[in-house]
Amino acid sequence: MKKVLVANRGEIAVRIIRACHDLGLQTVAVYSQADAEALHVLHADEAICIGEAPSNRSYLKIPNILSACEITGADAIHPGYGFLSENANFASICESCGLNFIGPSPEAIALLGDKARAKATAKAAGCPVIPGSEGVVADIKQARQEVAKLGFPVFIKAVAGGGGKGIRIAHSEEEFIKQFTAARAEAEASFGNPDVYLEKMIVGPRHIEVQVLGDKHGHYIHLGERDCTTQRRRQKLIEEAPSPVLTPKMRQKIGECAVNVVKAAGYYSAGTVEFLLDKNQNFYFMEVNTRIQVEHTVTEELTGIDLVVQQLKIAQGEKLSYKQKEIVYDGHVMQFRINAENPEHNFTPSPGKLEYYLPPGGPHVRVDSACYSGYTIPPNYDSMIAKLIVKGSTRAEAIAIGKRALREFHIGGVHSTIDFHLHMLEDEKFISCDFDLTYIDALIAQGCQFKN
Amino acid sequence: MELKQIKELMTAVGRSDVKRLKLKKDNFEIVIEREVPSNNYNAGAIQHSSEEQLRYSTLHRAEQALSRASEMPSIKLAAPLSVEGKKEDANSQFIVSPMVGTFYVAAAPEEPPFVKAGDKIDKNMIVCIIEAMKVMNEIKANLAGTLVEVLVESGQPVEFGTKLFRIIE
Repeated sequence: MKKVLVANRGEIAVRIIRACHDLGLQTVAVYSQADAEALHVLHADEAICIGEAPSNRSYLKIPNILSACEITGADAIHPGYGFLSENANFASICESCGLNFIGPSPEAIALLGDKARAKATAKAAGCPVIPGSEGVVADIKQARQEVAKLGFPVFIKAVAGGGGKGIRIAHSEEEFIKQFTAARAEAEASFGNPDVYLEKMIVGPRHIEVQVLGDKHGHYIHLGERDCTTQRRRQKLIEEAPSPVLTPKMRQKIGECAVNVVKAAGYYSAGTVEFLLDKNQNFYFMEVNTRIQVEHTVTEELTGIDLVVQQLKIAQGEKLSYKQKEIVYDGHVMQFRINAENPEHNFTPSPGKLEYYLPPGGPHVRVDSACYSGYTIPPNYDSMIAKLIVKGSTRAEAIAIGKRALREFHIGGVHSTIDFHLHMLEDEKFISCDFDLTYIDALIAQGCQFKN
Repeated sequence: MELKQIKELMTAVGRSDVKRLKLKKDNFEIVIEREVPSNNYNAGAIQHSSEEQLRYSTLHRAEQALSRASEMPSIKLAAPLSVEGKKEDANSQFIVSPMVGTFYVAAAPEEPPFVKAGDKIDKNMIVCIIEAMKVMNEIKANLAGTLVEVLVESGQPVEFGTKLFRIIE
């Protein structure tokens, strides 16, 4: 592998370029016309404009991305997260073109990307799964039969959904009939696939996910879990590791489970297996993310292992250089997603020019970002400004350092969610870990504006 | 030297300011010579003929963008930043590349160019070929007027938005 084309933008593109340069690989950035002055474009060795601002005309435009490889002589593509990263078709096309797709095989993406098939794989691998329909529920008649067995409340989830999208809830038979039809229509419109499946809604859940690594020679390890329970409308806001509620025995069990699932799928590269944990420490398989994730940074800081570098090495056919017993978890890590949103006004996006951008520093503080003073955040993509990652020897220390770092973070010209994070670090329930996935939404429903 | 390496060398020369390259290795010698076009490439294309120049131009590109970004909003620039470095005719319109690939002025090496300076262009005229992934795409003008200038060289890689032809109404 000599030259990697990064088929993404924003902070993850910058992250991938850094890992490539650390390994002495050349880099090619691709960008839309809205991203001509984006940081990933400025850092890469070469940059090719691939289309207009809308993602479907640029970052999702497969022919343009492949042509960019052709004219620059790139021999590998890193898809990042989102965009084409979990597109089995794209992975397959890369293979046919002789390009090294830095991620799992097209078959593994297709298998684990299909929520229903992934669940079946997990179940067969001995993993507890959330009670639900056995695969796709084709019509309302079958759906009503299934829901009679499961009881309420129940989720109706799009098979082709992801990132928290394509999910509806029903609390009663009447509501269910309405929501089922609506869910199929919405899935068709959003993902081009109307298929849905049913899942029992776990009450009071926590979101626990396990980072796994697999090489092309059948070796696997997991790097512990991340607790991503602080979510607003299924969008993660704060992620931490280790999970403050897991016992060491549970940690081992969930880790082994995660490895068994990806092993059964013939997976390689980096991946994440997501679980729900109920109040009684029962865990249930939810889905697999067949890509590097936004919060991979948390695991990196906890274990000291560079996950993107590992992806690049695995893609080049190297064997995993770590054994499971060598993985050490040091201290407590927290990540705060700083988005260009206004927490006082329902987190409305706030794109625009950063009049000033001054991130914090010092020991135990890491900032992953594609922003700089004077940069204009375009309205066409996600609202992320930066990821702030802090590490302490205990959770309390991580919280203290987090407060300090957030106070040092100066962003002018756009609204940011810094105040939201400062508020949460003073919140009693957050500090005592006495909250679940519904907590933030409940606070917002009560009119909380996250002021300090 | 293998054909693949020669092709890579030609591409590298084509994307830089280098007019003449002579390479001698053992019993092998190659000379690559080209006419340098009057305009520079657009801002997105990077010129590199050595790793140092590449690193320099990367730094230069970053510094340019960062110093532009740090200018106070109240200061208005005297003239818009233009890589081409010359004032464009107010009546000029441009046919830009709708895709990423390699630009060719003619259907085949022995064929005459589709269009040349002075020609009258209409919207449905085919003005060039852009090759992408071994597919030769015929590019329509989508503009009407008189062709003033061909802005890129045949065989040059182009990206989305690269200015190909200058047209006057």
